[in-house]
Amino acid sequence: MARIRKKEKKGQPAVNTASLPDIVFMLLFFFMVTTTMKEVNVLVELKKPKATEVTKIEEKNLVDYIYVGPHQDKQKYGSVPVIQLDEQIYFNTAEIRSWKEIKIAERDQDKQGKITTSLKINDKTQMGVVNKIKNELREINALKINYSADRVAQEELY
Amino acid sequence: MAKREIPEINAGSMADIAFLLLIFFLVTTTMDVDAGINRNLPQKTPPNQEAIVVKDRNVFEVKVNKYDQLLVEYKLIQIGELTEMVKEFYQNPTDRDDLPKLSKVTANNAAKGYVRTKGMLQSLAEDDEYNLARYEDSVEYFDAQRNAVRWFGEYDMLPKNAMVQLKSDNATTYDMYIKVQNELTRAINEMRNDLSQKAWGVNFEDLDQDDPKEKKKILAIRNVVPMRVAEAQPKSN
Repeated sequence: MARIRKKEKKGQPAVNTASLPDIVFMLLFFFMVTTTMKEVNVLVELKKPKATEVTKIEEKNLVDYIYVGPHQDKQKYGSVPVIQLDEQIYFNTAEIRSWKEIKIAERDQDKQGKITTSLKINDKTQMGVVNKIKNELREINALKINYSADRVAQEELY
Repeated sequence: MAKREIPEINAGSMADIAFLLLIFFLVTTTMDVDAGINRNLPQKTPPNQEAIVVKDRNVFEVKVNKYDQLLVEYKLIQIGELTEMVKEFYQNPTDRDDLPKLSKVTANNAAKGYVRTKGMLQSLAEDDEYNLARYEDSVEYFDAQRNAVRWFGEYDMLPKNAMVQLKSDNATTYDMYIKVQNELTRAINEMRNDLSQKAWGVNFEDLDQDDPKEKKKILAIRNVVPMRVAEAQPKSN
């Protein structure tokens, strides 16, 4: 006769953690793919205006950024709006054309028409400097621009 | 001697490494959704080109002054009213004579125009650059109309010179300027979405740019509801 074995008191079976690294790797790869390395330190105070009809910028490598706003270092620069191109700070629009022409030259010839300039401007800035920037861009035929704005639902707008 | 088990590599630390890398990326990811309102600036006009005279009814003047007040067609309005007024300008539903006169585009006259301009284009000399450019533009113009009629049937078209003219002061706040641009864009997007819904039951925004058939639909809608926003040079007081 078979010996009836006393039922062993089994502890709770430990969770098999062999697949834990797999899950973690998947999350890791997800972030590696979706992360965009921020290229430039923004040195100006930038509170973007709000809008509802915004479109996402598609190809980030065909975009150049112009930052406008009061400098974060108020003691050194005061509270007038300054223009930041890459890492440089300017008080007027004189350098925009040459900067943009360099940027255009750096890119593939066939993508010329698709280069966009993203204007990231502090919402309290007055239009005078914005219009000057737009005129400079018109001079060198860099006509595609994007007014950077935060997307909000309609109710929060007014 | 008992067979020695080959010691397995302890994989417990692999998880730790993975966690470290994960936390690094979690921390450095900027969820900076780069979004904004797209615009095409007008080309630089050569200094001796005279301003084209446009009939008053074809210009929809939107002025913002330095106090961020909105003056549209000589009336002071709140920003919330702007979208409807722009739509009324585009569509002129009651056929007012202070708004643009829409003309009907039919398959017939689009086709006739296309054939005629194409014929003229072919009869031009190779080196007649000025006329070549003009007629190429005309052919494209009628071709776009033919495409639109194909999808929508007969439709009403805005006159070629009809424009929303945005004038801001140099002291206007950028915030207000963007609000106005937003409302103008909203009006056009709503009209385009309505048209797209009526024709195909999808929103204009959901049409796929990369599919050639949908691209034709997109062009057709852009032809019927064009983006006609121009900016006047601001005064500097």
